[in-house]
Amino acid sequence: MDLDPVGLKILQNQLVNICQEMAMAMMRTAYSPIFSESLDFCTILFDRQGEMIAMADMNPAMLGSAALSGRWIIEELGADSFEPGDVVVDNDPYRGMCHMPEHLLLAPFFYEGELAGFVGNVGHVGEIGGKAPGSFAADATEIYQEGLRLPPVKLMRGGDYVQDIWKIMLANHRTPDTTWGDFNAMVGSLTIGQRRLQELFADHGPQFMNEAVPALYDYAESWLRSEIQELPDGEWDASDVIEDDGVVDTAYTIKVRVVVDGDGAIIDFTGTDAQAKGPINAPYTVTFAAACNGFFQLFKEFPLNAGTYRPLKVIAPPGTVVNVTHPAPCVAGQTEIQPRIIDLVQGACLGQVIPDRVAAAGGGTCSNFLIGGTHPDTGRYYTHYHFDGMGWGGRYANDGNSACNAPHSNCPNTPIEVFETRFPFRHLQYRLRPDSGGAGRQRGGLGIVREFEVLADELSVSALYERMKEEPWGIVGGGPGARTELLIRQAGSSEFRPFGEVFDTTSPSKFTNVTIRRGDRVMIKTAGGGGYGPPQERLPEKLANDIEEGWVTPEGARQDYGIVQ
Amino acid sequence: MIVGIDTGGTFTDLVAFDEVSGERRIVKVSSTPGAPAAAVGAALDELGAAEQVSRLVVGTTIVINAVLQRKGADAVFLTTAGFEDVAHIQRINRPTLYDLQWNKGEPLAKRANTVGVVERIDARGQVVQPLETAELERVLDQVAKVVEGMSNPAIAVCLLFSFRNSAHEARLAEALEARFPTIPVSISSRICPVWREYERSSTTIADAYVRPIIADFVRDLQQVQARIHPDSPVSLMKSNGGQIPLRTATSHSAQLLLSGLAGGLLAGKYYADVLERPSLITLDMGGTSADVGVIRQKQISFRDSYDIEWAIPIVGSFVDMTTIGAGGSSIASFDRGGLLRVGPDSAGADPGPAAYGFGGTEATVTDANVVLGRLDPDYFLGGKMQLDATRSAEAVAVIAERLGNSLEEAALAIVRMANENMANAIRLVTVDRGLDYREFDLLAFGGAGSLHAADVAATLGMRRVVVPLHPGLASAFGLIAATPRVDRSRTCSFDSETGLGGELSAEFVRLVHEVERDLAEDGYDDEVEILRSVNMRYLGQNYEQEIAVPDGPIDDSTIPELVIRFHSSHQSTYGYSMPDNPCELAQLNVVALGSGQRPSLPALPASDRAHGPRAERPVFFEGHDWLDSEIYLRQDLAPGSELRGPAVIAELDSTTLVHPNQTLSIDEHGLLHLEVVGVTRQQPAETT
Repeated sequence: MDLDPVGLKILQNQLVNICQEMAMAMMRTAYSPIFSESLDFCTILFDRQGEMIAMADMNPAMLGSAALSGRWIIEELGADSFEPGDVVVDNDPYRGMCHMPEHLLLAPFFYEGELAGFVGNVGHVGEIGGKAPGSFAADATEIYQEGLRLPPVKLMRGGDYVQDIWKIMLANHRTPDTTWGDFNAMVGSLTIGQRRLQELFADHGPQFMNEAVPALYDYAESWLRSEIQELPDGEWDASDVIEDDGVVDTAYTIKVRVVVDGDGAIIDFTGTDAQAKGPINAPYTVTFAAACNGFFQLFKEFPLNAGTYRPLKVIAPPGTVVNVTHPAPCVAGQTEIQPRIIDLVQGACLGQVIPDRVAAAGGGTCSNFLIGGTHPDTGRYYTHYHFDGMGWGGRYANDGNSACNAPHSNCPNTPIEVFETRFPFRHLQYRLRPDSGGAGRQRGGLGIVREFEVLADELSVSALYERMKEEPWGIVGGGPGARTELLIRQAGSSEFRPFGEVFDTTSPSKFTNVTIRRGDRVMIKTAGGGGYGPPQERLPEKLANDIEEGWVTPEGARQDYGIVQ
Repeated sequence: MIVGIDTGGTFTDLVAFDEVSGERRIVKVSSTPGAPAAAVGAALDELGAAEQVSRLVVGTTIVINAVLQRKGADAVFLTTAGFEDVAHIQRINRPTLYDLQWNKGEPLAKRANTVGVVERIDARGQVVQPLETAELERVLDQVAKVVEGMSNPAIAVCLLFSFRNSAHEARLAEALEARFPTIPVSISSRICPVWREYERSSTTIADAYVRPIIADFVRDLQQVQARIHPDSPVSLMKSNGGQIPLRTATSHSAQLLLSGLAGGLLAGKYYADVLERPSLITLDMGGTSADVGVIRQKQISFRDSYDIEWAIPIVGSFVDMTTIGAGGSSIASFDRGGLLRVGPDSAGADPGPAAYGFGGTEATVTDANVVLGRLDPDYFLGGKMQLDATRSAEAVAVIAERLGNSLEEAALAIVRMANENMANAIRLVTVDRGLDYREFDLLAFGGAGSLHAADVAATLGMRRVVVPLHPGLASAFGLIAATPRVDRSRTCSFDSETGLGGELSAEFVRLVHEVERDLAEDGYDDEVEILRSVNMRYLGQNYEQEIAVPDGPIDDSTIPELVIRFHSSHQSTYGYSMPDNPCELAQLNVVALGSGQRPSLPALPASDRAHGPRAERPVFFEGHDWLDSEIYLRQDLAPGSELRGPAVIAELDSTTLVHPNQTLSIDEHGLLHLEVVGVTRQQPAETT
């Protein structure tokens, strides 16, 4: 094949194709619903230095791992320490990863006896021990409380299980059967990647591959540069807060300056608050992924490899909530700081200059709700990482979407009928939340309301939410979206009250291991998106449709739009 | 005479097969999108002798088009109170990762036309909140208000956990039918008794939504039926490759969504049977897209869901097709990073490729083939349409200039890119099922399939290409090769450790009874073959593998046997198994197959067909440049003969390309067999 616009494009497609095959194998064989239903993973090919050649992009949150982690692990271990059949695992945020539930598996690929690259995948493992079932300890103060930390170590050696590592893992995770199944699925997916790379190298020859891969990086880089070139040059500042950290009732400000200069951009977080005591901290990988994602949201389609990131420079001072230093906890950076940064970059900064290409703030939290207990029917211990959709911000041309993942995530929900078949709960409602969308010429999307009753004697829940104090903001004159609410009606009581009040937690949105009992009812109301443009400019027929469909109540129409029905 | 008619967006194709003489006839007429049955009548008129038609099978894309164009009923949706928004919430994910401007799709039933019903069945099928009579009356009154003023109402009912206990849905259905006798009612526990409330709701709503479309089409076809023999059955193709008689079609609307796509795979299965080629990949390349399907051990693959759009998933039994945007009208352009891409943008039929002369100026795959001399401008659609080679050259020249290549090299690049896209689709389709594509033969059809097949096969290391009779009408041919088929699935929950053979047996007896009843309702009274299978997974996994149930009665030894089969299937598909882990039987499937009369492929007499090449013309091949190539008409090729490339085989509806050094053999039935080994790809050694 030739190094021309034809041969390179064919190779580009073939490489992504391999990642997709790896992803499919993983989805179909994994145990956790978080893999198989929610697709919280990605699959990646790396070159010999650990630069990303291609990825199957299932979940954008893992971009950071893909872009940086492979490189750092290979640097730490040395490329010559890999033998055929080896698989290295790493979940350490202080060694390249994003937060501990996400594990990177990395295996070398040899062609004709020479190290020719690596295949990898990143998966969110549902339970990894630590102080809270589901491993989202919202009140952790050190990383040691967040679960079992694995620095880059060999999980497989020469094709054999490294039994010592597996034994440690299985002994420290609360649901070892699931761990066993998920890790086998991940290892299986690597094997498929190696097999296909073998064919690809045989087809094209190693020399072509060595020359073509850097050319593909250049290709992605020039694509991104041409997009950035079309943006107006300038500097824009914005800031937003993380409400509290689960340990101390204090807010943390994230400051960002976006600089677009020609065909490159800088995203600078200088001035951001010092890192939190609680887990609401992001390692650099997370901040990097989120900052890039804020730009990517404008571009829709582009090739994804090491070259994609070259035009973007991300500055995040160490010791802040956007570049945490050891041994602070950091499980929530990936879920809560990511969406905040994306909206800061695209909506708050770039929205100042290209308001027609951005969105108002979305609900801005992954709505993490963790459940652990013994199932009364089976006697088995189970954990479940539950999350919900929320409203997206309004856009220049359209209302915000209702009930969607935060933009850095793309995980399908767990259906009611799957949820209740697996876990001891019964839902009373699961619906869109009227009036939760920020008012505007284009309304913000709606959050959801989920209410369920506990059918087991007792179980333990943990929560990690945001936007319970601060509303998701509107832009161009749009109103804010509704705040998150997390309520409980205890058995025997007749009213719903905030969790934080009932259980006297430090934070209303972040707590760990609260015991709830049979007959208790939980109600989760997720945040709505901010509105776009002044509410009084909303077309009367759009508002009439909102009222007819029930997305805006007559009362809401009166309050938010000044309309009397 | 058995007749299959495929009503597509542009053309309506007819293939007729005379059971007595073995004669086959084909007709191609323009489609009539406003009244699709009119084209069916027109095709029969052109065939003549309509009274000799003994059986007519119609495949159609009108159902899916009605959904895509939002031209269905005013759907009213009834669901468990508290869950009215499930179709709007969907699964909270999206198809594009980096696009905050993306818009979530709207369901086919408005929220304002949704009625919550106070009732509740739990995960085990037990009634937690009974459906009280007073509530039933309230619901009926509310439905009456909602349908008031609707011109075309249809009701869909989907209650939580109705796949476990259908009593509430049945009660609602009965009351609705009594109160609103003229309004059709679709019930989820009848249409798709499987778990996941959003997908089941979406399917039930879609069923209600398309009913009037199907009812109109059926009524029009009944007019057509009056013109053929009154005893001759007329049926519609279902998404699962089975057929359903006209009179019951309307009540199985959701099963007709992919009616127009099943034909190609059925043709594939037919050829797998008659050629004794158990493993085939079908490549149906047309104007705007290419469909890829897999035939494994002579069987079609099926899937249990299909997304009409992102927001409209349909659960049911579908022939497993993967469609990609690679067709004759796919446009070549440069992406933002400066690399060449072909598709998914398409010039469609209008303006179509530049060569059509309808105003298209962008280079398409068809234009590239014209530039390379592979398509004869004077013999497109058998000469019915004149192509303009100059316009093709002008369009491709734009690409050539940017590539810094010659016109021919640019055209070759476009063709190659389209081929790679198809090869990637084949890779994904097979790997998803743990199959090795190199062990398959490629059955190429559609207007453009046989023109590209040798290259696609060579790219993948597949050794043989088969080009069937009338490749451009293979879908219509597939319709007459189909046999009656009913699928039924039910979500269940058996554990490998505690599951009882007796209970499993009882569940299967019930399902078998249902499929036999359905087949009988379809008017089928002959021998029925029953296939039973179980979807199994390790306890904790969420995706299953389909495992065949051993023949004979089901007893306590059945589940252990299924477990052994599952471990081994998991091992061979994904490269590992976990024999110590418990498994779960998550879904039971039963298929009833009727034996229908299928067309035979008569041997052709050799004598009256032999004819040499009609002409010689230069054709451009990679690594060879222009080569004088022999041009044959397909009807001239003698059974049992062979020819060597470079050559082009032209026929009314398609063109087959034979590369240099490649051998094409014509079998006794007139099918073309290409040996692919060692062709088409320029080897690196030759370039240095």
